[in-house]
Parts: sequence; structure tokens; C-alpha cells
Amino acid sequence: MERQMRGLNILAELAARPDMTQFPGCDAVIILDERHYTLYADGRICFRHYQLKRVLRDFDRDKKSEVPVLFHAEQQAVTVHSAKTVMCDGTIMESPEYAINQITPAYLSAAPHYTTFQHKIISLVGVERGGYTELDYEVTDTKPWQAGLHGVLQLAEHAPIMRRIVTFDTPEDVVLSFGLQYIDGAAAGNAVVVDNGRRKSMFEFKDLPLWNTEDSHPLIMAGCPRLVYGVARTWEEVGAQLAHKVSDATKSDDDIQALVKKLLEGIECPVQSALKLHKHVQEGITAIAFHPRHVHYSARPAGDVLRSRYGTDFEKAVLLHAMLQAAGRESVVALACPDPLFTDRVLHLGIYDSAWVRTMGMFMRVDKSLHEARNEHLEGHTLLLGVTEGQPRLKVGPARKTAGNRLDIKLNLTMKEDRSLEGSADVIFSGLYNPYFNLHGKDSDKVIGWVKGFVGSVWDNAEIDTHHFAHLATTHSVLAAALKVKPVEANDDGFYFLAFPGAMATGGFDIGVDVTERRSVYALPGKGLQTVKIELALAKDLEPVFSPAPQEYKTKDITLKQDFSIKGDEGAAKTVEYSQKLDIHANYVPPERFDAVRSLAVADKRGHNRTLVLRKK
Amino acid sequence: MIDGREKDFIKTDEEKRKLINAAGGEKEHKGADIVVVFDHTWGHVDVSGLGNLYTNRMVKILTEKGAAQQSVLRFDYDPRSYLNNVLRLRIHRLAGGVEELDPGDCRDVMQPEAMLYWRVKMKLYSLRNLQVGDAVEYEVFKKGFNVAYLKSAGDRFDPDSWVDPETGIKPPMYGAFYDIVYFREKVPIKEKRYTVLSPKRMPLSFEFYRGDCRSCCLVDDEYYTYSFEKKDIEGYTPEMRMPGIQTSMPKLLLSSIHDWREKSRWFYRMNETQFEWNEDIKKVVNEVTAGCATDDEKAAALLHWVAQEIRYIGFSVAQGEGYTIHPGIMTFRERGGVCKEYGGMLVTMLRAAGLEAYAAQTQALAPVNRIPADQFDHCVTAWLKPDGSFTMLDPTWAPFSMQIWDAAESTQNFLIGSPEGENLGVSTTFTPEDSRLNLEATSTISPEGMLTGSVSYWGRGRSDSTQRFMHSWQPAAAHDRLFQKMMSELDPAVEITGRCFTDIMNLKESFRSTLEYRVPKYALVNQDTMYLRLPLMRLLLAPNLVRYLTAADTPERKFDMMVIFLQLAEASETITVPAGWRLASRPVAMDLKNDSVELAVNLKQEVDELRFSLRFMTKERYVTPDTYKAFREITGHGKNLAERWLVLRKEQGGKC
Repeated sequence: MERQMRGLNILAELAARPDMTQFPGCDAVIILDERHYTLYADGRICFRHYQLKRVLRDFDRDKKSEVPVLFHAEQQAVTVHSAKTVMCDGTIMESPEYAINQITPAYLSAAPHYTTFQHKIISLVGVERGGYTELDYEVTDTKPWQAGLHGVLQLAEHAPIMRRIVTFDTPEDVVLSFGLQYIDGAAAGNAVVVDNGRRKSMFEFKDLPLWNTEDSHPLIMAGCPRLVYGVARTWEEVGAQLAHKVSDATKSDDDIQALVKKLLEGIECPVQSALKLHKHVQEGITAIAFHPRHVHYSARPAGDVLRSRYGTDFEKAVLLHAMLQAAGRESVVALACPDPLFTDRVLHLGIYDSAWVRTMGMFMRVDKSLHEARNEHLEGHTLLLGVTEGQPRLKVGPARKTAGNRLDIKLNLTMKEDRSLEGSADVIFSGLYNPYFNLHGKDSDKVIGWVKGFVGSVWDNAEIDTHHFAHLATTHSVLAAALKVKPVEANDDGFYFLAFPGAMATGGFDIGVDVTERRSVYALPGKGLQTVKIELALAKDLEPVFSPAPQEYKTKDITLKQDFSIKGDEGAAKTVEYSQKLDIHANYVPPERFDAVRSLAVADKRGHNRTLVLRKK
Repeated sequence: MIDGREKDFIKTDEEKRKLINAAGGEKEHKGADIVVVFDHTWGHVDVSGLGNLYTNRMVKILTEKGAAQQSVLRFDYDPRSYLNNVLRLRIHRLAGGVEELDPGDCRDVMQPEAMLYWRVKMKLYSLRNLQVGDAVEYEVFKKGFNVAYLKSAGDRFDPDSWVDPETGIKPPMYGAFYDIVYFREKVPIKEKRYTVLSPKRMPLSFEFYRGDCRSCCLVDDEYYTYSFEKKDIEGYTPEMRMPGIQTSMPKLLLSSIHDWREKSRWFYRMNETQFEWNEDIKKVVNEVTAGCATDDEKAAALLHWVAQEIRYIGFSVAQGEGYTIHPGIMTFRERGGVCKEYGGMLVTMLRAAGLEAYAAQTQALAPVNRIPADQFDHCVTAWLKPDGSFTMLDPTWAPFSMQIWDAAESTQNFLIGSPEGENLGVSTTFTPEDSRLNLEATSTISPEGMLTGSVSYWGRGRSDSTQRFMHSWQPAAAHDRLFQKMMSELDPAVEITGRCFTDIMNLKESFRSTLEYRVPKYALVNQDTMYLRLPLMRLLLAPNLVRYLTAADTPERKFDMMVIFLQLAEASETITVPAGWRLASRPVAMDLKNDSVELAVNLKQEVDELRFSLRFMTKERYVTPDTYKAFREITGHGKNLAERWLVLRKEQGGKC
């Protein structure tokens, strides 16, 4: 492909310029994107990237005209071959020296060890709506330091791509394995050429639609077209590599030994010991949002991580593993891939999103986004255990059968003459609903605060009179509470509107409803069953004038059933019985079924089917 | 440092240990992860205006989280404008003993930056094995310039090009010193002290704001010694919508210049050469102003061109980047810059159009205090009209705005750089009417409870630009989600059936949005009774419409709530009900007002239509913690009304 300045005659070349009429709802269109990976015989890697784009809206001009290039400042060099803009009148603007800057990524400013990784910020100047930008840069290893050529390339981006070419140029004896996923609708071609001792593998894609990443859902990239590449042959090989990296980083360390001894003083229960160590790693070590794939899943020695008090997700897992070993516990570091659709034929550590530690049948995670450590969170994930022997190394689902996720709520309430409510609540929490891990080791104020918050989610404005909350085990907890609710006020028309609890509120989760359709898989909060039964004895002088009809929402992934019944003889005080059953029987919702789940969530949020209207007789 | 005075400022290790012990622990400072045992700054000012300031600070660790936080210390500096050298770094261990760390053992790297790449640096120190109860102490020396002013010194001395021979730092303004010192942090401070010595020929003006402190000024043969001290300072938790720290925290301002005019003339002189234009600029100026009948129209047209065509991006092209405007020709060519380039580009284009204009400084969203310290963080344009009055223009804040000066910058101080020297000025005070929002809605409820309707809204001032921002500040792919989210306030089950918008680039007319929708089963229907909420009233809970109706979301506040712009919202809706259905609920008539907010609502039925109207107005820029309760009470009535179910009954034999 010719590499002369295409911008010089770009207006003439692009007779049919892509514009907003061709790409409605797009901020820009990428006309050509080329990525070229070269692996040299000595192990050095060179990555070259060329992109030609037309800017259609202000948003792209303002937010996408700075390109950050991550590189290792001591092992790599960044060369900018071209950073140009073709303005609407044909004027060509080249980015001057002061428009190419180096910064430390913000997420590394609390991690001195990793500040060898820097961003080269290539800023384009003269960018206009309707103008073109051309960027051509390369990142070259100055010496071999990377563990081979492997990675995951997301093929779709924030703007549609008319043509994308990816080339891998390796020594003839290096044969990469490739995995292509989710490329429906994008014409893909590939070719392999062996010539003069070099092997060139080329992929070409056309008309890749934009991938909308504006939703913050954690699986937003699931389903995005991608190309995975690497040299590994078997998962056993990859698992063993991981085990060796963990082993290298967990050599015996006096500080770890001393700390473990101190932390576990007086604790005999093995599970409590593990949780105590987990708590220390979670709270006492700052989590650095630096993906370990950038350092090929190597970790600093666990003792260094402990003493420096910061680390990546992976390093924190390795530290916990080292602490467990110091405590005499068996443990294994595992990586988890949350994408349920990911096939296991693509051999690459980079597909794994999170690091966990398995001990005594429990999986524990130490990053700050997930404050709980339990097997249930891993259901549906693909797991890679860092072990050098034993089968299988690739596992799907939790390593042991879970106790089941279940929440059972019973409320008995009586409305008094002043319209206040009194009564009791009995709740059993199991599996994911059990707050054990969340509250473990927390002081009593925090536990009481949690209980108050939970009761408030079950019945609006409910206050606890007395309560007993028992952490029975890591699997179950129970709550028995006496409740009081301030008098319910009639509205200006003399009506009382009582909204009974929504399933999502009591379950402590939310399903976003502002996205009406998806292209990515949606993660539900976990399989589980919630039941709510409420008996409310009304004040004698009140009568129900509206109660919703029984409802049942059935989808393939969730069912929700709500039922009201009014009991009591004519003229006597009435009792309202409300029951609700939410059954989540999937971990993930594929895009084609999201609408049904969304409709159910909308119904639950708006509360029409759980609102009772009362009036004075 | 002034010879022999160190002993006055640095405590002995024995004294420090006592202070560490007396500082208390987690129990005494509930909720805090660290406590500042002491924070002492002292130093002197050179006649050049160069500050030489030492700081000795000690922090005691109270929790594991605090230990993790303190394990990496960061010291920022800018090689071209100020130094920040770590002289000493120590850990006072809980178990006893003091560890001395090597101040040279650090990572000296670029700072994280975004959009503004000024090549500033930082030194990162990794403190190993920190434990709860340990105390971290450091001493740093800061040397740099903040503000300077030219003194006439004859031909041989050019203060504008003078560079400090020791550091290579070039002062922006030779001969002046200023400092802004805050006396409160998010964490508790046991003792904070600031002491500065200035030569006797260089006295300092100073003032302490928002609270008090122990202060003194001592005089000897050579220096004035100014000292300020405060003890047992509570930490604070930031609140939503609180003003910036400039206006919410106790602070000390000091300055060796005493007249804003000096600063004005300096700013003029520093930048006056930057506003030349070329043929390309002139051509665009002619195109943009073609058809403008008056100078006001020309100025507005040029302002909007700069606002829309210049992209916000900052580069460091020379020393003194913070106060030197890039040449207009360069900004025009690169179509990029930060506020000073926006301001400078407009000065350039106004001058090319034959109008007289100057660059000016301001502090966005906060008043400038009277001590002439450099409190400015923003640059704007001043157009001098033939009658001698100035019209202020802010192109940086004008993208997708019909305004020439943003309503959020109401009553804001500025300083124009002019050859004669100007005094501190103050911008226009905007009224709620200046950011008026109109909403008109019609809807129909079916006997089965299905709601169909449409809502149109448009405004002026900030109420107009806020709606344009919905489109321009978000990627196009996110628009569906944004409007779905907004309309979900009306009902989560809403289905948007139509959207119509006028051109967001047309800044001559209000931007108008119309959304059509339907909501199946909007009302609860029970034979002859129907319960429904007011659709438009529910939609008004969306924060991008009536911004402050839902702002009072906490029962009380410790800091002022800042109302970014005063707003008047007038909304009306006609809800057509099925024939024969009558409103059984009492009509709504509400007229509530106090000094900070007004809310008036009416609802009545006329034949088969429910007529709803609302008027909401925010009237004060700062809602104090004392007046917040009353503000919350009134806005709470609005929120309650949005939650209220109205009752409709089907007429039977002419009666309901």
C-alpha cells in the first residue's frame, strides 16, 4: 500500500466523501485503519498504526483529536510518521513539536513503579467539522522485553470503519494462532504469505459499524468484533505459564510472615482467617487500574506489593495467595473471563478480566469494585487456574456447587388509627443476597446502618424498633425486626396510596432502562429467587378502593409474579395480602432477549402493579 | 532561607514525638484516615518578587486506608515557573525511631494532563511499609513567581526578560509577590502556620477570609514578618453543588502590589503584540460580519465564530505559558487553544473588524477578593465601545450558546489589560428571566389509561444552551439513551415516538425541542375511577430542564449551595381526558416564595381538559445552609406534586 501523504490529494482521491447523510448518528467515519505488527527474530516487536478519518461533528473534533499511545519509556520508542489534518479548504496542517506530548497516565500517578509506562499524546491541529485527519505512528521495542506477540484487538470503534487491515509479520518459524469473533456483517478476508523467511498474515475487514460504548455496563464490549492472536498451543501451556509467574512472585518474605501472624492472632477458623487476610489486602493496598496484560501478567514480588501498599488486581491476588500460603493454607490464583460467549479455542491471557484466589473451595477477589468474595459471582465465567498440573485447567462456572441465592421476606404489619404502621419483618438471606462478606469485620455501626438501609428498601420510611441480625454463616443470614412506620398521610383528596416494595429495591440491584436495545450481552445480578409476603391489617375506618390485578411477567431469563388479595368481612377491618416472586434464572441476557427483561424491569420500577389505593369509609 | 532563622520554625524530634502522640487516633478523628499533625510554611520574599518558601508538614496515619494513601507522596513542579524540592523525608515509626529517606530516590516524571498539555512534572516517592500509627514528615522548598509588576529601572534592566540566574525561572512580572493559602483541608489539621518575611521596602497587603486566625506583623530593621496560625481545624466532606474552595474555605491572601491598575497595565503589555491579523483572518472576519448592521451584531457574530470553530486544547509553546496569549494568527491557523487563546482570537478578529478590544482576566464562578493577588483562572475579551464603555465577551463559554457572556458568569469580577490600567470591574448581573425556559405540553389519556402526548421546550440564555449541550457534548450514538433517560422521569415505561429539533448551530433563534411519546397503562384504572400523575410535572424532575427543582436532595448542608445560573421556568400542559370524566381531586393552587426560590402551580379542569401551569424561579446565587431548609421545603412541594396521584371519575347521569 502506498504510504505517500494521502492527504495532499485527498480531496481529489475521495470523490465520494463520506458525510453525515451516509453515516447518520455518527460523529466521524474512519475511512481506513491499518495496524501492522512486526515480530523480529531477536524478539523485538514493532507496532505501526495508520488511520484516515473524516470528522463529522463537533464531538469528534473536540474529544477525539488527541490520541494517547501507551508505551514503555525505557523499552520502547514512539515515532510519529504523520499527524496531519486536511482542512475543508484543502489546507494541510501538520502537528508541530509542541502538539506531541508525553504524560503519565492518571491511573499510574499513585504507582511509581509503573510510571515507566507513559502516554505519548499526539494532538492534531487545525481540525474542523468536515475535515480529514491522518495519523501514522509506530511503537518499536528498543530491546526485546515482551513475552511474544499476542493480544486482543477490538475491531470496531467509536466511529464506523470503512476499511480495516491488520497484518502480522513474523519470522517464518513463528506461527501465530488467530481467533476472530463477532464479525457478522463485516466482510473479512485473510491471507498468509511466506516469503524470504518471513510469514505475513493479513486480515481485511470492510464496513465495520460503530460500537457504542457510552453505556457503562461492564460487558459493553462483549459481542464487539475482535481478533485474538498469540503463539500458545494449549490452555495447559497458558495455565502453566501463569502458575510460574505466580510462583516467581510468591517467594517467602519475612514481612508477609510477620503480618500474617499478627493478623491471625486468636483466629482459629480457617474461613475466618482467609477473610481476615482478604480484608487486609482489599483495604490496605491501593488498587491500581493498570491491566496486567501490559506487563504480560507478571507481578512484582508479593512482599514488595505489601510494603509499597499498591498493586494491580493481579498483584493483589498474588499477595493474598502469598499470605494464605504463609498461613499454611492451600490456594491457587485464577483468572476469570466474564464474557459468556467467549470460546475457549482462543489461547490468550488477555481475555481474562479479573484475578481471583481460590482457597478452601472459596473464590476471593480483591479489587475495589467488588467488595464481596464468593463463588456465585463467577458463575458463567471462564476460569483459568494457575496450576502446573491437574485437569482440567479451563473451567466454566463455579468450582463448587453454590448454596443458592435466595431472599425470603415476610412482613406482618398493622395500621393503627393514626395511620402509623407497626409490625415485624422476618428475612432469610442466602447466597448472593447474604451480606456476610460485605459486613464481615465491619464495626457495629456499619452493620446496623446496613440493616436500617435494607429495612428502608423493603418498606419506605420503615424504622427499626428492635432487631436481631445474625450472620449465621458465609451462606446464610437472618433478620428479625420489629418495625414502625410514621403515619401514612392522605393526599389532598383524602386518598392513601401505598406502594408495596419493588423486586429490584428489595434485591438491592438495578437494571438500567435508559438503553432500549443492545448489541452486547447484559449481565444480570446472578441467578436467584426472591419472595416477598406482606400481610397488612388496615385501620378499621379505611377501605381499599383500588388494588392491582395479579400480574405475571415471564421471560426466558426472569419471571416476576405479583398478587394482591383483600380479606375481611363486609364492615370489618380488612387485611391486604401481597405476594411477590422474582425468579432470575439466567446470568446473562443475549441482546435479542434484552427487550423482554427491560420491560419487566420497567414494570417493576414504575410500581403500578404494587400500588394500593385506600380511602376512609 | 534567611540566615539563622531556621530554629524558629523547625521543631525538635522530641517535640514532634509529643505532637504525634497528642494528635490522637482513629477514635478522636472519626471517619478520618489521616490527621495533619502540623503544617508549617515559612520563608522570605526577594525584591524581585521571588518567593522562597519552606514547608514542614507531618501527617499521622490513622487507618489502613490512610497508610495506603500516604504510601505514595507526590510533589508537583513546573521546571519553567516554580521549583518544589524535597529536602527531607522521614517516617516516625509507631514503635519508635525515625527513618530518614533519600530525597533523591524518587520517580521524576510528567504529570497526568488532559486537554491542557503544559509539560509540568511531578516527583513520586514510594514510602515502604507504612503502618497505622506511623507519621510521615517532609520538608520542601518552593521557589517561584506568581505575579510581578514592572518597575521603571532605566535602559539597562528589562524586567520583562529578566531570568533568575539560579533557577532559570523567568518571572512574569518582576517585583511583586502574592500567595493564596487555604486553612482547611478534607482531613483534620492540628496546627497550621504560615510565616513570610518581606523586605521593608516591599510591604504586603493581606486579608483573611471566612473565619479568623491568630495573626501578627513584626517589624525589624530589614523585614516585615507576617505570621498566621490556626489550630484544631476540622476536616470537611465536599458537598454536591458547593462553591469552589476560593469561596468556601478559610483562606489568606497576601500581595506586594496594592493597585489593580498595575496588574492591568502589565497584562496589556505582556500580550499586546499577539493580536496582529493576516489576510486569511481578515477574509473570515469579512465573511462572518457580512450583513451585520451594527457593531453589536459584528461583535456577536465574531464571538460565535471563535466559540464554534476553536477547539479547546492547550499546548506549551514558550515560557510563561500561563499568562501569555498565543498569537491570533497561530490560534486561527491551528483552530485550537485554551481560554486565553479564545479571548485573544476574538481580540484579534474584533480589531481586524475595526473595533477596539483588549484581553481581560477573570475568575470563573467566584468573586475576586480585594487584595490584588492573582486570583484569576480565566481569560475573556473586552470590547471598548466608542462611548468609552466596555462590553465583556466570553468566547470560551459560548460554544452552542446564544449569549455573549454566560449567565453563569453573573456579577463576576474581571480585570481588563489596557495601556492606562483598569480597576477591577464587575460583569452584568443576570436575572432569572435572562435564562427563561418555556415548556408547552399536550397529552391525552384514554379510558384504558394510555397516555399519548408531546412536549416542546425552548428557552434563552443558559436554559437555551443547556438543551444544545444535550446534543453537542455527547456522542451522537448516545442521544437515544439521553432522551430516553430524560423522558423516563415522566414514566419508566415511556416510549418516544417522535423527536424534532431545530438546528443547534443556529444561534440566532432559541433551540426548540419537541418530543412525542406514549405510555401504555400510564393511569391506574378501576371501572369509573382513574388515578394518574401530572405528566409534565413528572418530566420537570429531569435535571437538565428545571435544574434546581430537584437540587435540594439532602436534609441539610454545611456549605452554601451554589446556583450556577438563576432560572425562570414557565410550563403549561393541557391534558385531554376521556369525555365524561371529571377531576375528582381538589384543584391545585400553590403560590410559594421566599428570598431564594418561588414556585407557583395551578391545576383546574375546563370541560374535558385539565389545565396545568407552573412557574418556578431561582432567585439567589448562593443558598446558605440557613436558607437551604426553606429552599428545600418549597422545592419539596414541587416534588410531592410530581408524586401525587390525581383522581378522575366517570360522570354518571351528569354527576360524578
